[in-house]
Amino acid sequence: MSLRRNLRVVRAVAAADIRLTLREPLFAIIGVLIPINFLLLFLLFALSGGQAPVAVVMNDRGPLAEQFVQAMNNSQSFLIHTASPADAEREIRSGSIVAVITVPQDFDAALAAKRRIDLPVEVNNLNVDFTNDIRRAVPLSITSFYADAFPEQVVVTAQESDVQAHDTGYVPYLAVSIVVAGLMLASLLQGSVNTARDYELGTIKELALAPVNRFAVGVGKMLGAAALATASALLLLAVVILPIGVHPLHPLEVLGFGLLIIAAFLALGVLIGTLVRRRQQAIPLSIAAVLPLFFLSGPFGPANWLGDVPGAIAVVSPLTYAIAAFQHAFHGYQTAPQDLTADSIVLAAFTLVTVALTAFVFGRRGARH
Amino acid sequence: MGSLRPVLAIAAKDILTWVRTPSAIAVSLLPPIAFLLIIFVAAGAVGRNPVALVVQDSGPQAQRLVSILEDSDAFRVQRATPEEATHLLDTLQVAGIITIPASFDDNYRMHRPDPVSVRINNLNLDFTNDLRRSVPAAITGFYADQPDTPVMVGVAESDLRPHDVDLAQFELVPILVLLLTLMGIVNGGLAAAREFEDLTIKALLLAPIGRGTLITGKILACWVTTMLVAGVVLAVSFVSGILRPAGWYWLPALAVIGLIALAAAGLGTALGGALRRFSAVSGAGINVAIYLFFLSGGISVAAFLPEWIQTIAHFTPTFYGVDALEAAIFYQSTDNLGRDVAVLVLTAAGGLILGIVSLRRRLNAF
Repeated sequence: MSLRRNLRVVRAVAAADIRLTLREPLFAIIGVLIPINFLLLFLLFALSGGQAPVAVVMNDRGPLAEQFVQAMNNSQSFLIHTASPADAEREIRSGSIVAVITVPQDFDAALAAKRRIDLPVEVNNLNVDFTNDIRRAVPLSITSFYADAFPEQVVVTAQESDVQAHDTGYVPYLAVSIVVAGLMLASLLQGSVNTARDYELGTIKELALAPVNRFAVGVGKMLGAAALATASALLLLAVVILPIGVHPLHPLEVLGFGLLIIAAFLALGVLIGTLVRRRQQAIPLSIAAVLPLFFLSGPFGPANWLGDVPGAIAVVSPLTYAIAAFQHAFHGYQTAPQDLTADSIVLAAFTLVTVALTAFVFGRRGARH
Repeated sequence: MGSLRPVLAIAAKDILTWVRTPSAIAVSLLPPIAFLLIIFVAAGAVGRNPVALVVQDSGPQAQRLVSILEDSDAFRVQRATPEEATHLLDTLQVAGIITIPASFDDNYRMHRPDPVSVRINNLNLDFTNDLRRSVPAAITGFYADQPDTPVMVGVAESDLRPHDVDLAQFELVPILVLLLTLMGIVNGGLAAAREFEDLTIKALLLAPIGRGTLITGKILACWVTTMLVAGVVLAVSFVSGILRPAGWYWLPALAVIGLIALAAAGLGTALGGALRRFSAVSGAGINVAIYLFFLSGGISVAAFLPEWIQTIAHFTPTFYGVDALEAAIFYQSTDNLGRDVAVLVLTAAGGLILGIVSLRRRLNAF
């Protein structure tokens, strides 16, 4: 069979799949938008950051009291606003702040007299995580305040130096990880739904009986699904680059790794569709597969920093290597113990294995239909 | 009484169909299970960064600081030589290097500036700020332990609630609400969409029953399946001691669960009537439920979010459901209970009206 004929088969199958998808415009739109939803929702998580909103009741306006509040501001632990005792109490009871810190009336006088003084701290102890943040951050602010106000008394300080030339915000960092999850989700969804639809509508029989190369049919189906997955990917990248303002340092890496991720997960999607043969099962399986895999693959930072178990799980997840490669493409540094070459080899090998496995399963099950 | 039997028959049919459709069960259960897994993995690891500790002074003060750093719940400390520490940092085995210099004790004794150097792999602000806070926090502990501490300011803590709640336990309530909304919206939607997609709606419309009976049966089936699954989750949580409302607080907890399930069943039926396609309903339903989950404080607390998101969250009914369940289960409190229940009653009524109107219009047009 000539190459030209095979290419025609590929084009015809891909075009038919795109047309079929567009006949269900609502699902086509939802399918393209679901990864964007992921991006927006997980960014909500990033926006919450680690800074606790607190009210400070200033019963003393002396210079040392002001300097203490400044130390709290500099501790990167609080979002501070001053309030009257009544307002602060109302806010903490309504759940809009996590703590009320009261600077007592004789704060300056007590410090000048080297007399011990306690700061009343009322904590909305919703859960241990937030409560412990406050329990750590208030003493930390006190020591930082002493180091600034009484440097001859508190001499031990932390002197920081950084590995990277500049800090990367949590939102720009997490947005890049979420792009990878979005690419995975878009590819899995399109691949699995397109394939399952062929079994539901019975068109798989026609394809199996057609006197054409089955490999060309498989490639055509992957390209058809890839069209919508790519539309979703482009939309995701546009959101990350334009409104969020994260520009890739290595655009070619984004292109190369992006195509590898789309190809690998499209193949996995086709595999899911071939195995379950029903869109009813393919859709939830695709969505549910992304969530745990994403969280276990180091989206917030190197997974091994979270402990031995998360680190070991991340090693066997292909998404770990995809996230590390994308972080390098956007930010220019490594975010996993392995280097970029290892990321590339693992991703390429994963793509080859999934495509081969899918071709094998599709060939056997498709023929048996 | 005459219309009760057909309502129950339609409800029983839908419940049986749900039990026999693994994909419908998967749509409802997989996302909450995924979030549950994530919360348990994340809760065990939050906030403890691996660091290499280089100790160049064997004096008593240096050793005391080492002991505080090693006992701190902010770090996982690995002792290393300077060369080893650099290698660990370069290969991302650790997030930072803390070096206690050879002159530490001398400087401390002489009241000279005595810096502890911290080299941080500042690849994102989340980890970086953790380290920026944790080392000064260890220094705070160092001074607090000194008999002649110069720090004269202490903390007198008082807590708003009777006891602290573990993070993983705390996150279970939003996940329970996610389960309820997913079960209601997706299953209610699928039960309605399935009738249109498989054309069984024709048989139902030809049956000698009113349309109201048909709609009531479908919403009832969805509510019952949601409550059954919630019942299993609550029973398992109660036996394991994870979620255990005390005394009469079971009542508001169950009422809130019932109201959320009812609102979600109504919304799901509305969605199914409007979209009439299984794939569209499951895609849209999962999205809606996950949005509601995040906006009700799913993996954060609303107070930590920017103000504009907090404003949106206050218009999200599940926000009040989570608040009421947390108050009943964890804090044995009736604060805001009236407000929360009122919002949920209104939402349930709105959901039911939407479901009835949407399905009735679609049936009339069929």
